[in-house]
Amino acid sequence: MRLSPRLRKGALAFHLAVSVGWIGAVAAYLALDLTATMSTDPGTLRAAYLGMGLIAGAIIVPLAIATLVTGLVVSVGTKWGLARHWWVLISLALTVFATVVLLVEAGTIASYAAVAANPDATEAELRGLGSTLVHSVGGSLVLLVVLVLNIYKPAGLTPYGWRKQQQERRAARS
Amino acid sequence: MADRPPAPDPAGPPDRYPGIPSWVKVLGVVAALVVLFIVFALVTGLGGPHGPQRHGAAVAVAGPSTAR
Repeated sequence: MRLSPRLRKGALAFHLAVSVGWIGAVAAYLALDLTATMSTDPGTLRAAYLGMGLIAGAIIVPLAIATLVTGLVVSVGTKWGLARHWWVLISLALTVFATVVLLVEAGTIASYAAVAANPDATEAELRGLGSTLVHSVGGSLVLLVVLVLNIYKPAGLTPYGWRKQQQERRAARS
Repeated sequence: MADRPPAPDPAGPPDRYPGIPSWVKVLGVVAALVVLFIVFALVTGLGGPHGPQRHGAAVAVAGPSTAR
């Protein structure tokens, strides 16, 4: 199914907004994650973990899901297709991977935020909470790779895309 | 995601599949190295405890007080 030009532009604008927003939200999260990793002050730790919980649950997870859904709509609804070009296929795989890891990690982040929200949590408990820095830095790198692929669109058809192109050429000639 | 697909090649497609582009191969090698490093870190314990169970102790500590 092909989208009309107006719908295609609307879907693309929405996709760009949520995907770039995802990267921005991860950058904000990274600042808090770094603070939680480096600080020993209980007040700072409490604030950082609460902020991480809010940003991850209320912003990053919805933006990730919206990015995945709008990306599918834009690729399926245009001639790019979902599996015709390597850069689209790899972008999809990386986005799915990042979203799955995020959804798993969201439970960890929520549990840290729950401890931080507990007024009875001791300093030792707050300092004993772990860091999600490896995941947030890794996730940022994955998102940047996807961003670069989407901007440069390096050439290259998948075997499926090449077969479809051949079929379309033959159909156009006959 | 892009706005428009590339214009068709006026010379037409080649007779055989031209093969996997070199940039995809490079990306695949980098991804394989990253996966190997992650597996190495998990096996050797370099990255510390991993997975949702790693915060179990903190949740268990918080449990009774949040239930109040």
